[in-house]
Amino acid sequence: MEKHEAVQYIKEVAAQKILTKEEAVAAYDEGAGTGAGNDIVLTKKLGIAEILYYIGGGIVFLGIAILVEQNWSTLSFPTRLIATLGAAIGAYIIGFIFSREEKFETIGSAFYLISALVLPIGLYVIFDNAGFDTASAGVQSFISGIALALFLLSYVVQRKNIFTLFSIIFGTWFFFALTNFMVGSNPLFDWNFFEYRVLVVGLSYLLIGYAFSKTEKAPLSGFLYSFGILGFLGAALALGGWSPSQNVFWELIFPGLALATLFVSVYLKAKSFLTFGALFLMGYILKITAEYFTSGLGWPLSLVLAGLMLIAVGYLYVFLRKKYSLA
Amino acid sequence: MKKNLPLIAGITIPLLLILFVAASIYLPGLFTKPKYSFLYLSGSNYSPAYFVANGQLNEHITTSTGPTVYPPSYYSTGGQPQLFVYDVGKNQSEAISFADAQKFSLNTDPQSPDGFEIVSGNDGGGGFPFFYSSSDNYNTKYLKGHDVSRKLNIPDQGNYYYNFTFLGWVTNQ
Repeated sequence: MEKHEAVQYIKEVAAQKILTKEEAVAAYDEGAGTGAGNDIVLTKKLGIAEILYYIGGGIVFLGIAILVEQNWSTLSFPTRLIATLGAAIGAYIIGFIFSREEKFETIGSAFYLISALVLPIGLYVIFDNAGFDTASAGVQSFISGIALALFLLSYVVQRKNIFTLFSIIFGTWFFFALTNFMVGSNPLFDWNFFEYRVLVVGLSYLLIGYAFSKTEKAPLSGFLYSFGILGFLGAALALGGWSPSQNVFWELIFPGLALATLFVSVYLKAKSFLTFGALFLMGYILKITAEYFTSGLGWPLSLVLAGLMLIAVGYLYVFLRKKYSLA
Repeated sequence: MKKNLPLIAGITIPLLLILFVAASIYLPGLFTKPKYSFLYLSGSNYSPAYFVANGQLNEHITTSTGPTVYPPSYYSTGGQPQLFVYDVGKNQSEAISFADAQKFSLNTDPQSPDGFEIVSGNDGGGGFPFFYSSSDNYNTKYLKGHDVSRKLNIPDQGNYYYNFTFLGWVTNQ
């Protein structure tokens, strides 16, 4: 096919609205072997070798962290900096070199993993040397913000899922650190504020996971769904509180949220929704039983009723899993 | 656009919470202004001991035939107690003498006539795994009321027990 024929054909299918612009660009990327479509890391099931790469990366990080921690007082500032920030930059460069070759891409990602884990320690070393309290919310906001900016930029340039993953992780850290910094010890914000933040992050993970589920980032959806639903339902359950200082709104709405999670699992074909929905519904039944029904009905009868309800939830779990093939 | 709606919503919701937090901290303070300054004491209220009776500041000096014995914490707080008036308009403390403080008419209710009270800060520290250390803690005082909370610029003396003793709202200033 000649070039002008291909262009003309694209014009025709676009005019007939058979092909969208995004689909055309995605098809081009896939054919040309460029862009996100070429990212094999985190887009396929991990084998033993890949798992070992990542475990190795994690162990390297542990080694660097322990080395610096154990020798903190004897190491000079330049030595600490080279051992941490230098190692992070070095690992990033090695990762970049490896990831240019498709067959070494997973090894490259293992080095990116080392870089992402060690980078915050390197930044901590700089802030500590400058005399800042590194455990303060302000410094944590700076460190997480810098890490987030670097990995977002890396994603924009290289379009790799590993950068998406770390952008989400550093973004979450930044969100909590910044809100900690803004609120400080303000008495208007009590412990519930932390639970509301977890709720918001959980909801955010679920939405991003859903958005990714229809793209080449689909493998990240499992991670986002699992942590998202765990955070969302965990925070909603905690917000209910405990009698006599319970929050009636959250206690009443929670069973609706847990049941909705079970039915969303069918729609999304996501086992994590089903598992966590069933577990949290069981937890809610036990909580409400212990909170309200131990004195009126008596503890033994309450246990019998709670047990029967747990069996019902368990049956619902197995039924939904089998009927809708939620593997 | 419609295709990316979940992604946009997922990123926007945490940003909206940050904006909401910022607005709830800073905006109400623009519209609700506390009116009443207050008198407080920093340091040990042991000797001389200050107290308010009939809306006026008084002083009680302990007389003893034997040697005066102070608790160890008296020395760690810098010795003599110091009176301060906190100007809520300027949001700052000013040291004041006992003679000048006696001219104030004081209301000792915990809540000011315009509905504000002085509360300690939360010992927050975040939550797992997002813990943090903070110089803001129980020693930090806030003026709280009408859904507004304003941090007070009271020097932290490192000992919450002796750092701050509220004496009364100044009603004749």
